[in-house]
Amino acid sequence: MYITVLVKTIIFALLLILSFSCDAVNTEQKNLELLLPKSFEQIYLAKFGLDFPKTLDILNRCIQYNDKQCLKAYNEVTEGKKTLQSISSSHALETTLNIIEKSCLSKDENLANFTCYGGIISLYFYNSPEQDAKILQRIKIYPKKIKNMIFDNEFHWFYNRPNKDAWISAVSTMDVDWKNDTYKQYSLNLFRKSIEEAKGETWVSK
Amino acid sequence: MENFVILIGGPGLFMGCDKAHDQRWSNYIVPLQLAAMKNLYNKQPKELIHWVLYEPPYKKRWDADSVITKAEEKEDDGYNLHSIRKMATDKLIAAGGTSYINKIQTIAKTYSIQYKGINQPEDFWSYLLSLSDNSISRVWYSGHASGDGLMLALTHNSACQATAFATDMIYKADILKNSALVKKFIKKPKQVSKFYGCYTEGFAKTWNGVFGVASAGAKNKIDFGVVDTPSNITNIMERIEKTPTSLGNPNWTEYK
Repeated sequence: MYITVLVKTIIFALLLILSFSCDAVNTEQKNLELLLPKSFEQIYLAKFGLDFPKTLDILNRCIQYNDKQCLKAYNEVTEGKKTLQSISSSHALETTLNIIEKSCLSKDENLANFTCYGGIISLYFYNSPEQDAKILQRIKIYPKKIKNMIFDNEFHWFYNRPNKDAWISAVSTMDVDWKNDTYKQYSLNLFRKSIEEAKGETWVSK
Repeated sequence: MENFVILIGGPGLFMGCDKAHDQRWSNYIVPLQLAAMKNLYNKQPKELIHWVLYEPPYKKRWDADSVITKAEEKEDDGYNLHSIRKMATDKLIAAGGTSYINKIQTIAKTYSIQYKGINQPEDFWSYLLSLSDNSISRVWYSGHASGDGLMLALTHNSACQATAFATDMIYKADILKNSALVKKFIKKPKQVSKFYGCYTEGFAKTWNGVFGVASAGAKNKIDFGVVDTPSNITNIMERIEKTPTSLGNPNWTEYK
């Protein structure tokens, strides 16, 4: 009798712990799904913002002249970057890749731009060999429309890939609507660049 | 026949939360209209001027400006700007116009300018491709821009930050991708290709390097609003190139 009660209590306790643990995972997931899109919208400005200071020279000028629009855009991007750096994990990457897939195919202009391209820009923060491989594997199975959006563009994370050869090899045979061979070669060359070449740009240096 | 192509970007929607951008729909047209009126283009006898207008933002802006909702009428933004927008569209209609695009087409016709409306950024490159070899004397741009390229339209995010949709951009890198268009340009033309937009110096430098023609742009911000401000510089285009903004001197830079 005593043993039966003990076993039941242990099982109950285990179920309780498991339940709390699942709740914790769900809460973390929900937090990510809220935090990531907001941060994507913020870092979107680094590439597409009208007033974001792209170079350190311009940033210094913004500070010197106390240009409010410029500083506001810079602060937005900085906040987004900080958030993304603080939550960068394999789980965050997985969620990011899911959000990219969903938003880039959305008919909503804001989602298809701010969230989609912001998400793509955020891949910059995932450049361990494992994360890099995971990104490449996922992009390979993205719909063609998203591949076109990624490779008909220029993102800083093209420069900071740890396995450049894998990207060049994969992208050269990937199903992408290249306008002509010049476009294709241009994009492939971006993966040959080093992040050092972007020094002096605010995104990389600040 | 020589072709002088002017690409014209568009405004964003009127945003009460953003007093710094596009309070007026005509920011990128008026300087070009004045330039045509006073021949500030320094148009050569053999040159045909083309206005290549990115139409989507003008369509959107017309739709937004010409219908002011009841809610907007009551909105107090301190400047009655909603009423000003409506007044501008009413005035345009009273003068026989039907839309902003129609108004721009009329201006172009008045000054014997070839009008071409485009709906996607890549249509600009297709238009250059459609011109005869060795015929482009120069290319100008009037509109929003950033260090990455030309922003043919403006939008705002949820924090009211001015930005462009990726699909409205002509990137600096697109110049390199379209290097085959070099045959369309006159070799060593006397006229300069000019890119009137903020931070277009890099775009101008790449344009010069790829197409081998003199090109100019701004290292810093420029302000189209200086058209209306008192100045010793009577040439409107020169005034845009030289008048200091909130970030100091535009540092207009030419590459030969």
